Amino acid sequence: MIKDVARSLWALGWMGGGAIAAFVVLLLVAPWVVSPYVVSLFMAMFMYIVVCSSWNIISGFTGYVSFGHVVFWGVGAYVTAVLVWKFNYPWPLAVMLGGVGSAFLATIVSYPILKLTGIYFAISMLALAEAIKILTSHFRSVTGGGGGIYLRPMASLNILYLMMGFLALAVVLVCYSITHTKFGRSLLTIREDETAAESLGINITRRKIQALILSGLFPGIAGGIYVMNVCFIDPATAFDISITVNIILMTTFGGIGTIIGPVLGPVAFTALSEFLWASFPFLHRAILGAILIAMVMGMPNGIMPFMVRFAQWVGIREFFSRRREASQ
Amino acid sequence: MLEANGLRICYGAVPAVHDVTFKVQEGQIVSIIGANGAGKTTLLKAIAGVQRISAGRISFLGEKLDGLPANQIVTKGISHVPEGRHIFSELSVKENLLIGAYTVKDASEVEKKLRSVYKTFPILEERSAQRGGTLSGGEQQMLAIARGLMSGPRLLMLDEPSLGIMPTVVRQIFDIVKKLRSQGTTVLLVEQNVKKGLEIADKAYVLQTGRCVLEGTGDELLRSDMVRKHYLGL
Amino acid sequence: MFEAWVTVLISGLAMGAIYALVAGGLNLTWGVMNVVNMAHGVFLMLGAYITFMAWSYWGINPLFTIFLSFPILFALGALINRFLVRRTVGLASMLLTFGIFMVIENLAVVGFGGMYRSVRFFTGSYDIMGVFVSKPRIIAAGIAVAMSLLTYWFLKKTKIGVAIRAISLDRMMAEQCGVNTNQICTITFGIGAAQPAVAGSLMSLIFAFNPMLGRVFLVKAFAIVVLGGMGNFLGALIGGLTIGLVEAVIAFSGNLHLSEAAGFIIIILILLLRPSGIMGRRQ
Repeated sequence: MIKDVARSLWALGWMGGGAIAAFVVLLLVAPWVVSPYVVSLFMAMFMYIVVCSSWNIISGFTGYVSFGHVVFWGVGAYVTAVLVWKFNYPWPLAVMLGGVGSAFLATIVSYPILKLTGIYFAISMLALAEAIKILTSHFRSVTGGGGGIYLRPMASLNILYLMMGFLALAVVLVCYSITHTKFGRSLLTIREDETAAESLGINITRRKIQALILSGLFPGIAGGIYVMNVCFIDPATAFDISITVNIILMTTFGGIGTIIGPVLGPVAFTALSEFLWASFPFLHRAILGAILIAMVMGMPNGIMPFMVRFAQWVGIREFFSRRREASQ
Repeated sequence: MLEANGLRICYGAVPAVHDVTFKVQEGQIVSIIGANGAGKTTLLKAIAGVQRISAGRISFLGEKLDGLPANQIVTKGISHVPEGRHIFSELSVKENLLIGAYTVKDASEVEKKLRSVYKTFPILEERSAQRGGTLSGGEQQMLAIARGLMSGPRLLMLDEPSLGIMPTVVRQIFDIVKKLRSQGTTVLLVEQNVKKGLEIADKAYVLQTGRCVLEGTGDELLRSDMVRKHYLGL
Repeated sequence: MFEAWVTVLISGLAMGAIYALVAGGLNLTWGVMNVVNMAHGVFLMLGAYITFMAWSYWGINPLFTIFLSFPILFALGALINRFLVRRTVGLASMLLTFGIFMVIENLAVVGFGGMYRSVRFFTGSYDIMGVFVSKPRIIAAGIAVAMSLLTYWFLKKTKIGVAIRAISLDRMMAEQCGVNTNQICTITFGIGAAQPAVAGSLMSLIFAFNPMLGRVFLVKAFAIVVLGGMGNFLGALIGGLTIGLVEAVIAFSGNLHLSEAAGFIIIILILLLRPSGIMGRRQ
């Protein structure tokens, strides 16, 4: 397994390595060049890259479309906030424990919930998110109830931004390398045909559970970083179904089940959504809804096929086809 | 009455039927026989409008049929009793029959049809309140045929009516098919039971891997060496 | 104490009857067309606004406004199906209808404003031997039950109803029996939109509401459908009454938030223990 991962990273080659290096340089330089506003915009974008890529593990690779993925992000945010607020944990530790918390939630729900498939899985994830939202409002003594938790600012924007950026890079690399491992290939087989996967000797229950845990881990950390930045969390924000829909929207737009899709989607949508907020402050949600409708009807496979066609046209086919192979 | 010319039908890129031509004369029983996967069912599906054709032409009473949606085909006077019967399991026997007469607008006409199929299949009247899914295989086949008759078709297409049914019931069903012919309904029959299918047929076609390899009257084919050797094992 | 419990049970059942109507529409589109309609919440909200506008601007008796909300939302649903939903099924339909939800809710906020509205037409309670029954609740519940039964009758006894049930069992075969399944599905989606709208009209008699009204029912309606068994048309009624009752009992025991969570916990438990629902047919 580790060997496979190492080999896949080696296989990134000069071009991939160069891209990663360029990203890191840009990441480090940006705060000195652009305004704090743009930095927080980037941070939001990285956050969505993290959650979209994570969602893609269980939904894109494994084929279990989750309609409640916000729950992992929200639980991570809450765990971090509560640890800092009630127990005075140092915030970086609290952020990491946010990830542990969401992965723990994924672990306890995984066995029963992954017995369901298709729409039933989607809906029970949705119900899980709503149920946790209400339970969070209910247990006032621990969670601060419906009014939420206010934290005093502890970490600077730039630090949190860097953490989110590196987390995004790490998640994308994890997604990339698991598609090169036996684990990743098992997930793809499960997506295509669960019965066949079982007959090939894949322990499907175990693989699905691992996928869900991995898929729940990173959004928890991202939620923790988020909450340290805005210093406020309440149940309505933490478990907002709109976030789940954004995740699905962005990933589908970028290309579900690919590595690059959950990166392209958030980049495009952060820019778009920023533009819509600025230009149509009262209608931006309706416009996003219309885009969602148009996408389901017009390009169910996301923007990737278009990109590939465009790339072929300009003759850089090699670049894209390698990535697509990696994801298939 | 029904004419199919140069039919070619593909599932994705794989052709299941290549260049098949056949004719059904009014008042006859026409059998299409062949082994599993020869394309018989595909052919009926194409006529019924649930399978697109890639080339060729189907016409019925001089009217072009291909390209029409399946529900329109019924109104032209063709009824399809598909393989596997496809009974509406949660609907009562009577409701199954009423759905069969969906295209008949006149309520008294529906009532008349209902009485007539109950006369042909008395068992269905006995079971009229039962759910379709609770019937035995043979009864379900009768229900499927009866449902097909409710629209008052001029051409009835039967796909494997003998499949998985007790021999005594099969005999009963074939007797009914003969009776339908005498009452003026044309029947296009697809059968894997080659002997039965040819015995009853006025005209028959043998389909092999999507091609029509032999045609003739039922008796001619029963006597042909090719059929005797390949399909009857004689 | 006994009277108090009876009051709680009645008010829970009354709420449940309205839930059942919301879920009935969802159940219909899900069971027949395999379209998981996430937009039923906004249909409900539109129903509530139709009642509010007809009552406050034209002084129409709110009870008669269901004769407005039903046809208007039927038409809207039919149009949405004809131009958008059509052959989109399963998960794609969930996304698509959520898009519709976003558009309509946003437009409603812009058009109606975010403030709370209420239709205070029926007020007070009936006092029957110490049992207090809120007037708007019991009237709304009566209409809701009547509406559910009417739909049930429609599905059981009319030609279109039988065709709808046939499509839910075997769409291809129904088509081959001469049923224009596209047309019937458009009617089905229309009813699936109109039923929640009537529920919304009735709900406006009971609570104050704003354009976010639909959100509360987004998941709750799924809970009811899953509880009653998807595609089981009487199941939605029983599921609705059950959830209304459970919520009322938990709320009365002093746990408002947990009563809200009841629906979601039920949905998860049912899916895990008995995926076909309490009334569902076994696979």
